[in-house]
Amino acid sequence: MLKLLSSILILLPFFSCSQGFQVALQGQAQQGMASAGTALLQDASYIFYNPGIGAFYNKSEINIGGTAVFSKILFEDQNSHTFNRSNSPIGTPFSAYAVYQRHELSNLKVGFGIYTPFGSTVSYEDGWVGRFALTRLELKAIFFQPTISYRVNDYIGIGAGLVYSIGSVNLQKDIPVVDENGVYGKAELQGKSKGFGYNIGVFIRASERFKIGLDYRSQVKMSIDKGDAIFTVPSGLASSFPSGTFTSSLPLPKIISCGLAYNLTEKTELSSEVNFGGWKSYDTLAFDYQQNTSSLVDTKSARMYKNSYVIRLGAQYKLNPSLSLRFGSSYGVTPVQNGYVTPETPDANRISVTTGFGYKLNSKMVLNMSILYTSLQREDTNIETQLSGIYRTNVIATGFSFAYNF
Amino acid sequence: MSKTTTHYLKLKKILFLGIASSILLISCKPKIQNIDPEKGLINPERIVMIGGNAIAGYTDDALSEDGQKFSVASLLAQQLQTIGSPALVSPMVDFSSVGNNINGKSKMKLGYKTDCNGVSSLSPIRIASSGDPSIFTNLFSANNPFTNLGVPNLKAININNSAFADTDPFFARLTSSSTSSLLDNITTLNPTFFTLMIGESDILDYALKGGSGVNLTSPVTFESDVNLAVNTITANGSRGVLTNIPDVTQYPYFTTLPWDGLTLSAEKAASLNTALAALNFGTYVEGANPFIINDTSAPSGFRWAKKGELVLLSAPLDSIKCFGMGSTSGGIPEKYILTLEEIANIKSTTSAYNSSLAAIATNTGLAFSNMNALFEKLTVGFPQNGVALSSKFVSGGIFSVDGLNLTPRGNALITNEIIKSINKTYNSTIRTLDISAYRGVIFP
Repeated sequence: MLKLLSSILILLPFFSCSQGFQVALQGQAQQGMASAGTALLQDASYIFYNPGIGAFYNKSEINIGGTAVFSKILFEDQNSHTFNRSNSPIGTPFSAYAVYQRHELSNLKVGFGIYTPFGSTVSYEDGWVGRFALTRLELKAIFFQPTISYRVNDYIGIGAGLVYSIGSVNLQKDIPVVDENGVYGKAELQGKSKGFGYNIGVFIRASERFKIGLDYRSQVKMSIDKGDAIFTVPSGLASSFPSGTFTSSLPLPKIISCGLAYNLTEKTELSSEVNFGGWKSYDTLAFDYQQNTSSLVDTKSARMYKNSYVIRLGAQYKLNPSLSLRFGSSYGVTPVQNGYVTPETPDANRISVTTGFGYKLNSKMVLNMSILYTSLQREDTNIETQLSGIYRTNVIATGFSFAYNF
Repeated sequence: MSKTTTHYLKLKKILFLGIASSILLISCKPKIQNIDPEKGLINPERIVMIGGNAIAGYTDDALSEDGQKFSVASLLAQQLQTIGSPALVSPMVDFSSVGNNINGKSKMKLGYKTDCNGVSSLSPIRIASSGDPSIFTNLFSANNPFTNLGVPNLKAININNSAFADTDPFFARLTSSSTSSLLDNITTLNPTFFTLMIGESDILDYALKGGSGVNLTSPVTFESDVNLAVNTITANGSRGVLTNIPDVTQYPYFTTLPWDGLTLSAEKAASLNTALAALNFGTYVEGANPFIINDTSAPSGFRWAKKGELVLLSAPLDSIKCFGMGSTSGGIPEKYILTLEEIANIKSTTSAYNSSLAAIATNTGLAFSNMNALFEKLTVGFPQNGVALSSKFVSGGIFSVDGLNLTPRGNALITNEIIKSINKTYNSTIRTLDISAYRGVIFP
């Protein structure tokens, strides 16, 4: 029956943040500037944005921040014009960075970052039209990244970090079989994953005013081995849906970033960048069940993502020595092709706007805040599930960070 | 005021602004942009639903309340109400009733049945030892006449039959008088919009008896009966929708049991080859083998079933499994088999009916809904809203446990097909139903 699990869709809940795929909510100062951080000599968030920057960041710092992501999806079924809403909990990506250099002019800098480049939950109201495709997807991932930066000369800095990631996935959907009380079957797949990757970057200080940043964040393959597949079905079907284990994996694609930053005046700095996402690697989502039956077969669902990019523009203006105001805007092209839009990533091309500020509490402490807003709309008929309709999504992400320099 | 205090005040102000603006933004959920359905050229004042099992809500081999609630008539009327039609009036069976059919049997469900080998498995079973004869009392009320005139097993020849109530208890329970024909009942209601689904029972009567002892309604009679009905109903300008009929041989009642369902071990095949050598039908092999079926035209009165022939779901499985029916102790009786010739009769008659129905719809300007094409697609199956739909028995979700009539999901699917054809013909924008909200077969 149910190729069912075939339509199991997963797993890219990053959609709730900047671009459908690329979560760049890893530094509040950068977030205020549309996350254009690859060429921005700003703070310890360089560990995520570009480890090469560390070579020129002449401070030791602890930087802790978090963002609250409010994402609201409204789905309109194209046939029945039924409306359903998401009821996803607030996403809470966080980041914590510690960077250290032994003395002020040291060429070498070490750092460590812990951050959650994706970690949101998408869920829809009970009984929604697409419940046999997805009811809830919870994805948690924490990246640990020890990082070294080295200043080659007065112009060039390089940096590299090793990424170790741990994560967990919990995917739920209803199964279109019903018992005498009208209760539908349910599938729940949960598992823990881990993966490795790296993050390398180059930072070029072409002049006092003009900087160039290049960064390569490798693909991280999140593998789930021996996850639990739990099926709750009418007892008459229990033998058709044996609970057991499954294996699966999800590629988090490589992201290549090229950025430019320019100090227009002493008070105004502009930053821009382009991110290329290697989403083509996400062509299939496969589930391999330990125990197969005629109703429960291993599935391979086409995802057919395409490589994609985001353009980011940001600016910060020093209102006075303590207060900086920030603005930004980005445009992202979705990697999700027509026919492959799923409820967990109702992604679309999008324009995001951001603002934020940084405030120096004293010579050692800085407080940053940012807000991002984006609104997107995607109409599609999924080839696999024939779930057909319009997803309208509004996202607001707002956060604070606190940095202590020493 | 110290410099630090000023800074903190400023900071507070900024924080406050930041928080206030984010709260504003957070409250901004995507807005529902709903457009009301339009009625187009439909006058929804008085609607009437006419037809057989699907319109009546006959399913799980009986008429019962939970079938009626999800009849095509109910589902379609529910959507027509959104363009201003009155609520449908159906001759409801009491919700506590076990239902009844023409043979006095209750409705069926999927349950556990132990076969002759002592093996218990999921199988359609009756929910009660007998049906509820009380459903066959006349419920007509002149104050609130039935607008759902669905009559289980309705044949075209009975639409204008004024003695119909004498012979058909399903019609008798809803007619305005025992001497009125169904057509009289319809014209009294003076419909402004109607649905007519006719023809399937004319075919099924023959098919369910394995083509023996009954004839198919001739296409000529069928056409003239439907023509008369449609012309009478539309005489006052009523608009409506006509459906054609599926190829019933695609129903799970006919497709579930294979013609070569005799599964043998190597030893068993060898012993049959010895025991039945004289018949000279062929060589039994390990695995799937043809059943022996009765056929009066065969020299010995029976023969091997041929590829493409259909074994009906009514076939006595215990006799086949344990007592050699279809192998060592004679053939499966003809009434359980549709032979290639009978199948050809069904197909050609179906296609003749459908040509007539299409022509009648064209001539009278009625909307026309192609059920035949829809059920053809179901033989392969397709998904909708994440639900896999097919005409497979039980697991396909479309057919009820009787293998012939539809589940609520199946009825919703054909209702959608009807709505689409109505919208196309009458420029209306009636919404279709969300398939995922309707159940398939209930599992224990």
